Amino acid sequence: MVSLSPRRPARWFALLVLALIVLVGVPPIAIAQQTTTLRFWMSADPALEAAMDALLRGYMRTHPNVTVQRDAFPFNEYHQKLTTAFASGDPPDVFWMDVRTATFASAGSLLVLEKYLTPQNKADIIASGLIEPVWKGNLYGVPMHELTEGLFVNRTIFEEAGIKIPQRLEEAWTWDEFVTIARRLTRRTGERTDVWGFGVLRHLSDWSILPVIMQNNGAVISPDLKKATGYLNSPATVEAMKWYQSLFTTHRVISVDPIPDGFPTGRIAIFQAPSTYRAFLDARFPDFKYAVVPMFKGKRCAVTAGGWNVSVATRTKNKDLSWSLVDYLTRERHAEWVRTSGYLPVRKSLLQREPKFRQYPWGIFVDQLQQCQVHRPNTPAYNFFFDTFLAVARDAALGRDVQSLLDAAAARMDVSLSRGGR
Amino acid sequence: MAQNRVISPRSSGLARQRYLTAAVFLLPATVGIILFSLLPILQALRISFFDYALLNPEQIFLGADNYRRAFADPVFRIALNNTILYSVLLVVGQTLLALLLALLLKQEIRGRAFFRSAFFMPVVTSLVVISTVWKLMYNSQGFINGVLGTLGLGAQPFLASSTQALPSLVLMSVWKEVGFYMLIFLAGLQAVPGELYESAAIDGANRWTSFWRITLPLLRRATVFVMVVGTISAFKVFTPVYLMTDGGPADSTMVIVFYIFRVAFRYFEMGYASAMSFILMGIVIVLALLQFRLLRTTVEY
Amino acid sequence: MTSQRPGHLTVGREGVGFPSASRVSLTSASRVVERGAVYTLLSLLAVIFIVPYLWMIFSSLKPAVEIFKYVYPLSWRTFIPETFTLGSYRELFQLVPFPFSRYLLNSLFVAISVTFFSLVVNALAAYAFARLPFPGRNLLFALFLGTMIIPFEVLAIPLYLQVRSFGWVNTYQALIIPWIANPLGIFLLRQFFQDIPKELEESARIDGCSHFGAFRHIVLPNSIPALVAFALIRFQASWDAFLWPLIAAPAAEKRVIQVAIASFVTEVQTRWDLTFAASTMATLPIILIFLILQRYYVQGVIMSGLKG
Repeated sequence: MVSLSPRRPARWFALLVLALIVLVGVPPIAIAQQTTTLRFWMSADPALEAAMDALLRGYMRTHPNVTVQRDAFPFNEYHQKLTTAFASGDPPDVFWMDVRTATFASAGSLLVLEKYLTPQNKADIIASGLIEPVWKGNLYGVPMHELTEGLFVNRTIFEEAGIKIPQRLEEAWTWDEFVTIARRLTRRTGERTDVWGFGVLRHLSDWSILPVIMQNNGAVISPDLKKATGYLNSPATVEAMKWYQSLFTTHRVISVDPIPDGFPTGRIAIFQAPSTYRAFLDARFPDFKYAVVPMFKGKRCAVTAGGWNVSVATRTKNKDLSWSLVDYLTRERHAEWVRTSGYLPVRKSLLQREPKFRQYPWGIFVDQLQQCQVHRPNTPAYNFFFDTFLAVARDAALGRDVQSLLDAAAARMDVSLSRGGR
Repeated sequence: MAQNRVISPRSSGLARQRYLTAAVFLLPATVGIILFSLLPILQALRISFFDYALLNPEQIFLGADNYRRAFADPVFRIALNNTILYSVLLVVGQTLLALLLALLLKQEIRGRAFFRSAFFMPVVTSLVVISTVWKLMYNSQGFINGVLGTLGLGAQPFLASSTQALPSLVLMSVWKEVGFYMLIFLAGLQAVPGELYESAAIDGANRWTSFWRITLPLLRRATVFVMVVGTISAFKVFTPVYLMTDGGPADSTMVIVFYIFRVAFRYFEMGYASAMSFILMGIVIVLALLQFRLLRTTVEY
Repeated sequence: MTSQRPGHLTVGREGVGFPSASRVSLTSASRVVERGAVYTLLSLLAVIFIVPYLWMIFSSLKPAVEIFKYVYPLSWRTFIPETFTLGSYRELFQLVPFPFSRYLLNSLFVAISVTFFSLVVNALAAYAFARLPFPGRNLLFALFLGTMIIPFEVLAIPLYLQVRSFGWVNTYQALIIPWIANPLGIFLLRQFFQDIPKELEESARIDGCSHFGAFRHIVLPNSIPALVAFALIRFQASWDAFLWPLIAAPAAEKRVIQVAIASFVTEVQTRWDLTFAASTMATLPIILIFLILQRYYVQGVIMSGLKG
């Protein structure tokens, strides 16, 4: 590798230059084509990508002049990838978008889809699905599906302890019942915890903790999305966060750092996770016995809901064609997508048509979606909110003073909100 | 070697030939650095004087406001302190350990190649993989606490503690980087002529004195490299924080580049992020110059 | 570090064999004790360096159910699988739209290209900085070094725009060419080139060698350890690249391993089984390459004589 054959320098340089030219000078040969190419981006997941490809093949069959070029990016880096693409003027035509709709819409990156979505089409979508894609009254995306959470319980542990597993929304545990059960199921040998009563998949995130705040009738940001002080540090929010903190500190039913695969390996008895977690458990841990129970409830029931919408870039050269893809994915093939992806339906027609969504366990998620759904703040400052909230929750779990944490966080949020999301 | 070029007896001709050779030798690297480093840096420098929201094409000239803002930003100050602490701990730790390993492995001992390979392996392992594996090992119910438990020691919170998180990252980084610097020291040690030790031994010097008087001075160039490169890369620490701690708990692992990344890609303030980068650059350049000066050898830099 | 006087030590290296501290006289008893201490220390350290790899490799051979089951408290099951399975690897080769091997080959191609061109381009530049004084040399060197310091995160977008203006988005060029010129390499190689006695080159030059001839016949053969070390670092850096390939080459057929591995962290769960198997596949080849090169490196040290 290092020893170089004895050639004269001139020839040797020529070789190097030649190699560089070969490397640089072979541009991808453009194949003459009459077809239009739509670029479609999604968050990476081997199973979802396969499901999406099946839909896209169907679209290309019905639209023979269109080629859809699908690319997927790791979930954690998806928004960053979108951001760089928009910033350098090279965005995809059609793409997955979530609660950050406001972030991208406020910068003018997203096409308003209001005129494309017929009233009849819109009326078929459940209320929960039309919150995240809307910003300042304009619709910037159409939901593919919805996602919400429940509590997953380890059947074996529950049966051994003789604890009844609730199966309907009305039977949801109250905070006190939940703490009692979680404490009972937590097992320790000396200082070592063998089983944690409680665990959360989206550990310490706003997604997971927002329900607790809302169950206590708290808030995080003012309804006009302009202020956090007086909301994020309101008495109800502080009280909810203190209760949540007590799960880590006083009751010690949940680990400060997440236990990887702790639930299916029997180290966590009750696990708060999204509805799609079922597909994961069934595929990866087929012998593991679990049950789904509704989220615990405080003064009211509350569970975070959200999901992926399909949006179109303002810069696309093919607006109508892009819409046809959006419509195909979200309306025509909605039932197939829901079936293959494991997400929850977002269309009333499908919810009515398929009885399984009214039965256990789907029924729990669907009922929660329609009766308890709360949403993360749809503000251009969502990323800042996400980071700030995560930091607060982590510090609270370590036992720091909740009031002062929330006061400081609210002050920081105010600055960010006043900058218009930056 | 059939070289047609005749060395000119006149020194001006020699110099001209030398400049020409230097230009040819430097051309590819210079073109690469100008196109793919310098031009983007100049672009970033320009951006640092603007209010440049990543998603918004509209740019507003701010003058030095972004720079002033950085010095008033409490998070930037915390990040700066954490970065300095991280860098000092890491550079000192890895330099000393690398020197120790190099001295141990310089001796003719059995299994030298094995040990050298073992210590070098993390250098050629992806930082993403290492961060992922170490995060799992640092878990409250992870491998390291398993070992501590077996040894009868108490479990530690590691990344879940605001006092242990940063030292835990340093420990992992020493593990990851030390092999490379060990190799640099080893290569430097190979250059120390054996006779020097022999003559020193004849003069009655013990090993300690010969280490101080012969080995260390000859390792200067290697030390300059290890310290300067170590400092530069320590100041740019990002991946472990991004994958393992997210800057917490309680901002205890919030380091500059991670903060810059957040401001740029999550809060879209490219102008402010660029300004902080140039402040970082200034600090690192001053540090590098100081190290060059402190470790100056007779050869000019 | 104290200020010392090293100048006169750089002469008279010809014909020196392997230096060794053990030549300094020691009584045999204390030598045995010392050897024992050295071995104990080295072995302990070696265990710390190797255990994470063992854990990773063994975890990749377990079914998903087992990976975290026995991690804590520690037992021999922490490492040795109850059920050996290659299922995770099988799944990696059945990924859509491309099997993981495709991403491995992409990374391999990119890393080898970067390493090769990097060695040539930076060694030439380093030689010029080490041996060919010209006006403004130190300034240029400082400028090169300075470009190392700006974090890549703020340069990503300007660099992307630059690469796009060449029409390289989604090409291998985008993944290779920006990373050829490397100030760190120039710095490293310059430090080593400076350590080679000038007299050798001068005598070669008197024999009619050009600068290039001296570079190739005197400097390069005497710098093999540094060149191999630099090659490894370059290879590793390219192999490790994540953010840039993510930005510059979004298409799946150009995907590199780090992006592929990150894709196992999905919205719902982290696929730890795939992560461990893919990490193992991303780690072992490069360690293998390193172990092979290690032989050359040791040989290079012995054969070159001068540096050994």
